[in-house]
Amino acid sequence: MSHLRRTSETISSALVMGSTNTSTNTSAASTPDQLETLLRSNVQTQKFANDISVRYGTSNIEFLISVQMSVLELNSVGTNQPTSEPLRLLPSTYKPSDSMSTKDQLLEAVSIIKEISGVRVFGAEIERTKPPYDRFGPTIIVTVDGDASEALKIWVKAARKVRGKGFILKVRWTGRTDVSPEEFIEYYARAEEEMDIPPFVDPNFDSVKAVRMARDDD
Amino acid sequence: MSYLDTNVVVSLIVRDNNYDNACSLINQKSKPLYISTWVLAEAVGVLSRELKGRYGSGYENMVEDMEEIGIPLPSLSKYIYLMGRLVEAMATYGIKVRDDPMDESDLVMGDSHVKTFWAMHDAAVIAARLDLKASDALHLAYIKRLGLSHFLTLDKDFTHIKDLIHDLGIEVHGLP
Repeated sequence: MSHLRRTSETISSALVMGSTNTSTNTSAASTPDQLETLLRSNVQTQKFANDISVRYGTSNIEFLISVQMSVLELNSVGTNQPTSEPLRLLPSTYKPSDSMSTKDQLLEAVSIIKEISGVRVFGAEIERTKPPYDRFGPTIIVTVDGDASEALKIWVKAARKVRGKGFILKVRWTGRTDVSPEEFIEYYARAEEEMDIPPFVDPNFDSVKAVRMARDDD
Repeated sequence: MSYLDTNVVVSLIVRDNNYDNACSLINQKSKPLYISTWVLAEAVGVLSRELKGRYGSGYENMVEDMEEIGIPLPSLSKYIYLMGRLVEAMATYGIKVRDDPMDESDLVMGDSHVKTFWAMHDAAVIAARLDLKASDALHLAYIKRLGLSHFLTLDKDFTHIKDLIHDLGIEVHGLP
């Protein structure tokens, strides 16, 4: 467990994909009734639960609870909805009416990473996206069981598949940070571009005027 | 073969109000499309200015993530970030950078000749011929030297003088 905590303080809980161990733990009894009801009633999440197993005893149910709590929190404050500004900046991507629920987005993110990485997903969590990027939906951080170089390569590949899904994908890793700062930045820039996330959001920005102004200043 | 103006490239990256026009322009032409190293320099300059002091940019988010993970920020971080954006966008839209020709030119200065980078020489000649700013003339100089013939731009300053530019053997494509 210390390894888990050392790897990332923000990982809600651990999961390892692909095993058949689906046992739960009585620690679930300490959670609110409402949460348990939600867990039982959500077919997709139960299916997901059957796909995962536990690395550290109670982690299976803890993960689901953590996910659901994140979902509840996000839904309760509406942070999975974009700001009310028009979305003309991204004609080909996220539209509120097309958006999945936050928990579906989390499952989708894990599924995409799982597909690309060969089931090496260690954990996942949802974060609120800070303005002005909140218009692209919540940020889903998936922790890959491997080194940084692997996780970042997976991220860039996954980023293209995330386009238009209504969330921003980020990755963390359990292993070594075996990339230089320069390499990390390159991966970051490439993943943003693949996700169709612009380097800044400004409805008043005009590329023609900006370039013209730069030329006139020179 | 077509050469993209900097405003087209910046619009493709920022997805601003000109984005649809930029896509429409590049979709009219066969790939690959070309840019020069001068376009790269201009694009990085414009985007860098826009990122400066801007709250909540992608660059700022990246810096925060690096701090959280414990990755030190290199001195050229903004340049690397913007070049990463450019390279990925170029791959997406089928854009390539054409190598600079490396020959030298003479710039005639009265009775003397000054050895100069060809681009400066050509830009000076075109600027004088068309009454253009040097930074505008430099793109036309690149188009000529790189052996290209179509110039895709969103800047009406160029489309307004497309007949003059046509005399250089360059066809301007842009907004009416």
